[in-house]
This record gives sequence, C-alpha cells and structure tokens, in this order.
Amino acid sequence: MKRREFLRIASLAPAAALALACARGVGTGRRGRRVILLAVDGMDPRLTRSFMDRGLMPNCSRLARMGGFSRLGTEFPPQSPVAWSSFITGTGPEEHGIFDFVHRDPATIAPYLSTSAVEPGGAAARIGKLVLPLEGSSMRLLRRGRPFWHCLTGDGIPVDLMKLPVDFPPASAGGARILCGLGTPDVRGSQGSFTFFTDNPRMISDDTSGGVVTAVRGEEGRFECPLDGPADPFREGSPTSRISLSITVDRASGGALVETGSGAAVLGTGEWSGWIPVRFEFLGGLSRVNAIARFFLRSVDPYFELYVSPLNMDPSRASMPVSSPRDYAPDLAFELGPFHTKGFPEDTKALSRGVLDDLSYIDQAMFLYREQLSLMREGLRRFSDGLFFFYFSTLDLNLHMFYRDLDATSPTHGTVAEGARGIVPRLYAMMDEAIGEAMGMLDEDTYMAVISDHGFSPFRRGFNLNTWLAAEGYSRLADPVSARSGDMFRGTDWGSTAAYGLGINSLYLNLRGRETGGVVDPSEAPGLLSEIAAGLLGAVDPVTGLHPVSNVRILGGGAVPDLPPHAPDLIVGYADGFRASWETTLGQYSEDVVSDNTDRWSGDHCMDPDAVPGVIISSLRTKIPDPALRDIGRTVCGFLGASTEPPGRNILDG
Amino acid sequence: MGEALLGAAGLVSRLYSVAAVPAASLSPVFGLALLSVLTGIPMAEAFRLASPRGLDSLMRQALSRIAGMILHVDDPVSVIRLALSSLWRTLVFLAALLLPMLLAAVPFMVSYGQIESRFGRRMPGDTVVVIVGTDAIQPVEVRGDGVEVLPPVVRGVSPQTVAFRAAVDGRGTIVLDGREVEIGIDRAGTPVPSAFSTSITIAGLLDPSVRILTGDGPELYGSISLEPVRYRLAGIRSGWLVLYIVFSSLGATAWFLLAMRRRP
Repeated sequence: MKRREFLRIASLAPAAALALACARGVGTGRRGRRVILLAVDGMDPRLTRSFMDRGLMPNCSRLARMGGFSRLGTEFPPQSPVAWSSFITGTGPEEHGIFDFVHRDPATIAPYLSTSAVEPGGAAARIGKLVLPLEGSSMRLLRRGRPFWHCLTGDGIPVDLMKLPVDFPPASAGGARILCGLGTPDVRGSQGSFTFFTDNPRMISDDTSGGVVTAVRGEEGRFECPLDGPADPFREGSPTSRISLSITVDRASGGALVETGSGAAVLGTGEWSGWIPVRFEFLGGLSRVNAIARFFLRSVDPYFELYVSPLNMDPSRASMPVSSPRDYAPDLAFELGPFHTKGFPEDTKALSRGVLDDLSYIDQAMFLYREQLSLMREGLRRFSDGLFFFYFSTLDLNLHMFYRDLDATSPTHGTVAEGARGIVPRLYAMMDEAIGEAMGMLDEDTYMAVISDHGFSPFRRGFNLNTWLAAEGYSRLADPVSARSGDMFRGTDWGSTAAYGLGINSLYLNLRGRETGGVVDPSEAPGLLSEIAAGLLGAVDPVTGLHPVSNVRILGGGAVPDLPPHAPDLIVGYADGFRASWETTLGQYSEDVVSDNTDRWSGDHCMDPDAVPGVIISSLRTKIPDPALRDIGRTVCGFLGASTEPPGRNILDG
Repeated sequence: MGEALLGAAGLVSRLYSVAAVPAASLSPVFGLALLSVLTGIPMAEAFRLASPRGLDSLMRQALSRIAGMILHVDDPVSVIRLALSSLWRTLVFLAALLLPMLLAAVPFMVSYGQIESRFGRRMPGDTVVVIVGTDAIQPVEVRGDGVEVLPPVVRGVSPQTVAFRAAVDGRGTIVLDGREVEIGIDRAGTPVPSAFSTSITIAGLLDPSVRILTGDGPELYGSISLEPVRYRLAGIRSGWLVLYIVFSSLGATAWFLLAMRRRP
C-alpha cells in the first residue's frame, strides 16, 4: 500500500512540475494598445518607393495605403550610432554625446569607439605571473540621456527591444527586455575581426583592418591553426589567449574536417558551416569564454584557404551582458539555437579585403537575415502588449557592399559577380516579406511603423579631409613621405597644425587648452571654423567638377554651448557621391585630395543628411510634414498612453 | 568474458528501456523524471541498508548539544564543552554517512550513462558529423543504409581518419568496412548513438550510446556529433544532469521516509 502511495506521489510530483512549466507563456487574456516598430537600418526612401512602384514590396505598399509613406529626418551626421542614439533619447548628439562612429581623446588624438568603453578592473592579487582580479573589468555605455521607453516601463507598459542598436551594455534597461544589437562587440572586444588561414603565399598580408591573414603549414594534410581569442585576465600583461584549430584537409575529395576542441564541421570547398562552438579556457579551465564562429572553406587545392568569422559571443553563455535581463539571450538561444550577437553581423571587411567573394558573402548575409527573421518571429510570438521593436541590419550592410550594382558610374560597378546582380531589389523584397509577417499582428489597437535611420547614396569619390587641410594651409606635414605611408597623423607638424579630421564626418581644431600642444586660441575658433566651413563648401573635385561638400555644421567655438571635449568642432556633410576617404578615417594623408573609391564598400550615408533621409511607412497617418527619427519615441509613448513624455514631437498628433 | 559483459550490459539497458515505456509517448522530460525517480529507490535502499544503527541518535545528540549551548549561553565553559561535543558527534555522524553515501552512489552512477544516453544528447538537426579513427592501413569504406552519407568524405592520413556528414531521418545505419553502426533516434527514451568502438570499455558497458562493433577487421573507433539537451521546467532552464540529481534525490528521499515510517 505504502509503495503504491510512494509511486503515486513520485509520479505526481514531476507531473505537477511539468504542468507549471507548461503554464509559461499563458497570458492573462487582457490586452491593451500596442506598437510594433520595425527598424530597417539604411532603408532608403527613393529605393523603397521605386521597388514599391515595381511591385517588389507589396506589403510596404499595403502599409503605406493604411497610413502613409514619408521621409524621416535623420541626424547630422547621418551615421547609425548617432541616429539611433537620437531615436533612443529623443535628443540630438549634443545631448546624447554620440557624434561619430569614433571619437578621439583630445590629449592623445587616439581614436576610440564612441558607443562603449572598457572599464579596467580594480585591484588584483598576484602570485608570480598569475593574476587574480578582485574586481573584473567591465563595459560601459557611453551614450547619455534617458531612453524614451523609461516613460513606458515606469507606467508598467511592457517593452521588448530586440537587436536594439547603441545600447551595449544594456545598463539603462529600466525594466525593458532588451537584446543588444549594433555596438555589441565580439569576444575579443572589437567590432569584429575575421581570421583567414592559408598556405597561399599570395594571400599573406600585414593588413589587419577587419581581420588577420595567418600563414599556416600543413603536414600530411593536417593543419594546426592558431586562433586568437580574448585577453587572458589571469596572466600578467593580459596576453591574448589562443587555441589551436585542428584541420584535416583531403585534396582528393575537396573537403576538410574542422575541429575546434568543442565542436566539429565537415566542409566541402565553397561551403559554410553553421555556428560551431569555440571555447577559450583560463586558469586550467576554471574560467572560460564561450564563443561561436562560422567557417568557410574557400579552397583546399592548390592552396588551403579557410575563413573563420569574427568570434561572436555564444548567446546561451555570453561572457558579457548581451541582453537585459541577462537570461533573455540564453532563453532565445534555448528556443532557436545559437544566433549572432555581434553588432555588425555581416563581415563586410572580409569582402572588401577579397577574403570572401561576392557570392560567399551573400550566402553569409542570407544566413544572417534568416536568423534575424527567426528572432523577430520569436519576439512577435511572445509579444502581446506594449512596445515591440526589432532591428534589421540586412539592408544597411549589404547596400554598403552592393550599391555598385545599382550605380553604373561606380568605379567598382564592373566587379559585381554574375550571381550577385540584382541583389539590392532582392534584399528589399526579402525585407518586405519580413514586414508582411509583422503586419499579421495588426489590428485596430496596434500601431505599426517601419523606420530607418538614414537612406543611401553612392560612394564614388573619397575626399581626404586631412590632405585638403594640409593643401589649404590648416595643417603642415613635417615629413610628407611618412605622412602618406603611416596612419594616425604620422609626419604631422602639430605645432603648425590648426585642424585635423578623424572619424568619418568629424573635424577638430587643434585647440589650446584642450588638445595637448594645441595651437589655436579659443578666441580664434569661431572665425577659423567659419573660414574652414566656407573653404570646404567651395572645394571642387578636379576630375568631376562637382563640390564634394554640400553642408557643414559648426559645433565648436561656442556655436553649441556646453559641448563635451570629445565633440567635433565641425561636422562635414559630403555631397551625393562623395564621402570621407578611407585614409581620412585613419588620420592618413593621400597624394590627391579627391580620389576614386575602389573598395567594394560602394554605397554610404555618412554625408549631407539632406542627401540620405530615412523613411517611415506606418499604419496611421503622420500628421506633421517633417517627421524625424528622434520623434518616434514620443510618438510611441503618446500612442500607448504613457503618463510622461520624452523629448521630441508626436507625429500622430500634428 | 567480453560477450558475457556485453550481454549483461544489454540486459541492463533493456531494463531501463522497459522502465521508460510508460513515458515514451510523452515529452522527454517525463521519461527523464520517471527514470530518475526510479533510480532514487535503489539509492535509498542502498543508503538504508548500509546505514549503521543509531545514525539518527547521533544526529539528535549533536542537535541537543546545540540546544544546550543556547540554554547555557551565560556559561562560557559549558558552551565550549557543548560546542566541542557537538562538533565531535557531527564528525562521527558524517563519517558514519560515508559508506551509505558511497553505496547509494552506485545505482546513481549506473543510471547516469543510461539516462544521459536517452535524455542528455540529441541530434543537431537532421545531419551529424561522424569521425572515424582506425589503425588500418587501407582506407575505411563508408556507406549508408537509410542514412545519406553526404560528400565530401574527408580522409586524413596521419592519423588515419575518415570524417563525413550523415543525413538521417529517424534512424538508419552507417556501414564502416562492413561493420554496422546505428545512427539517429527513432523515439523518445531510446539511447541516441554518440560513439562506437571495436574495443569493450567500461564507458561502453555503462553507456548504451557507445556502440560496440563486432565482427572481424581492423580496430575502429569514432564519435557522432550530438548536442547537449537542455530542458525547461517551471520556467527554469537546466541540463539533464540537474534534473536527474533533483528527481533521483526526491525519489530517494520519499522512499527513505516511507521506509522509516514502516519501521516498527
């Protein structure tokens, strides 16, 4: 009798636990108003309108008929970190503090990522070469200002923000559920760096921009490939950790076996793997960093060529917070399997460097799009109330790389592979399908908007701001030869330099009292900035006869009060077809002020904001003539009935 | 001898398969819970049978001395004397627990491989990577029966290895130099093959997911890439091992308490 009783209790206990588990996700049945925001980075109003007119985007056409289609004001400069920070805070760069992809330390002129920074750890115990940190290092979000959704969460309105840009680490969640997007680093703390292993001597290069090419030697078809990971915090000097990938190459079959120590993949030539776990262990395995990577076998014969994607943090066991609550990303990974966590998911640098070709790059982009679609579907499945936001990177990064297909006058137009022709309308049509899926949630209590942070323009000619400044006498090169071969202003005579360019749109004065060894007296700054601005607007490209700069905004010299020291003094708005040259972004000089952009990165938006507005397609009519991205937060709060309102305008109220 | 061991291991495995039958049509977590709870019974019995008499008396003595410390808190000499006495009895109690705990661990360890092979790993989609090692000089011939061996088949020479992807829908067989390895899974609660070997090992005897290859030919060994299963219970995600420990402990505790109540 008692044994039967035991068995009954023992079988009921797990059943009760399982019933509790099954109860998860069952809602209360009551639902209020809701907002669905689909953020499509880089969605261009002109291209969208054109593809809608051609019938390639039927869902956008339907959505536009319900409410409207309009240009959406971006920021100056129209860069994603700047614009999305304005979206989050409802304010401009002078308030949220993000002015460019990179800022510079005025004391050293060293550039750093504008959105987040590593905070070094505190005290540590040392035993020989072993270091035991008593307080670990951490990441800090550099964006300032109050996120608009605090007005919602403060009223108990649910907020779900998936792949949210410029919010890593998600320290200001304020009760919202956040999955971090743009700005999330890889496990090495960088914005993404590929590794390419080869025994092909022609591929070996010292260039480390976006990734490293590592020479390896095989023995009887076996390659031991050293893969660098994060810094080891437990060893003196925090050296880079490293594991060895074991690769078995079979030239007869054209395949390879890739073993990472925690996962394996068999690949044929020209094939991608799925996400493969890669683990870096410290302190004899007591501490570990879990990463995921994808592998692409480019060739085995005559040379071995293997691409390894940037090491994404494993969402189920991320070493840094990629979501808030921290359990959110693992929960999504539990449902969907591993997914990319790095902010810039598509590896554009690998295509620029020729490590990936057009078609293998597109394979990667499609894989990432499908992952983003799965995440959106999962988010929508869980969404019942409040705000749901989802961000797609697909159009932005892929238009950067394939604008040359649209632009017959691009210097790289002829480089588009046959199978990649027509990729841009295909991408827009794919995005339309995602929008159509989200539209399935529309009802009379739901407001839905598709928004973008900027549009796109061709990037045919690069303008070297530093070379122009030198040519106009605003800076001086002590050693012109080394200035043209090195980066970070090598060869610059700082004692005779009044201004310099760094980042994509930023110009700084070499200001006394701010820059170390600054030469420009603050009282001279307003006049000097006006003079430089006039000169920039008057500059002419000798090849095309066009003006490379069509707009400038002066911030320094007291034009905008209380600017932080990292803010630029002047923002350069390049004209349609022009952008800062690649050398400018690195503090380099070139022979010519304006030159052809021969990179496959052939479309851009870091220009005059009037040339690259964003777009809004919404289910309700926009009642103001000039809606802007920074108005969206207030609009959402107004629609959902928040008791307090963030800065900006409610575009539905007029 | 080897065949007798294999036969015994096969019998144990069949017993677990029979025990899992009631939950076969349910979510795998039910099967995991059922086998774990049942494992708790031999754990509790082993613990109970090996427990020396007076174990509960030792515990009570230690607790009574703690109570004495509270009562004589104004008398430092008594507090110290009682504290030392309590500490000693606690140590004796823990020492007396050692053997029963070790014996209770035996059924736990036997069940570990059985439960992991059934509920701890799963197919990563419909394709797995199979890596075969061998001491043979001739290349290992690979074919599938109900399994599609996807190209390329990668052959390494030093050491001699063969690696390939196998697409399997349900369950099939890969044939390596004429020797068969089952692959895939046909229903919840059956062991998912994860490794194979021509040699008999302890791991192979305790873990039915390790297939022992019989028949003549060179030595073969290998692995089938699976991924660990994670479960969600009451909103909490965990690996199978945590659930196994929790449910087997619950089962053992319930059985032990019932046995104590039955005692005259």
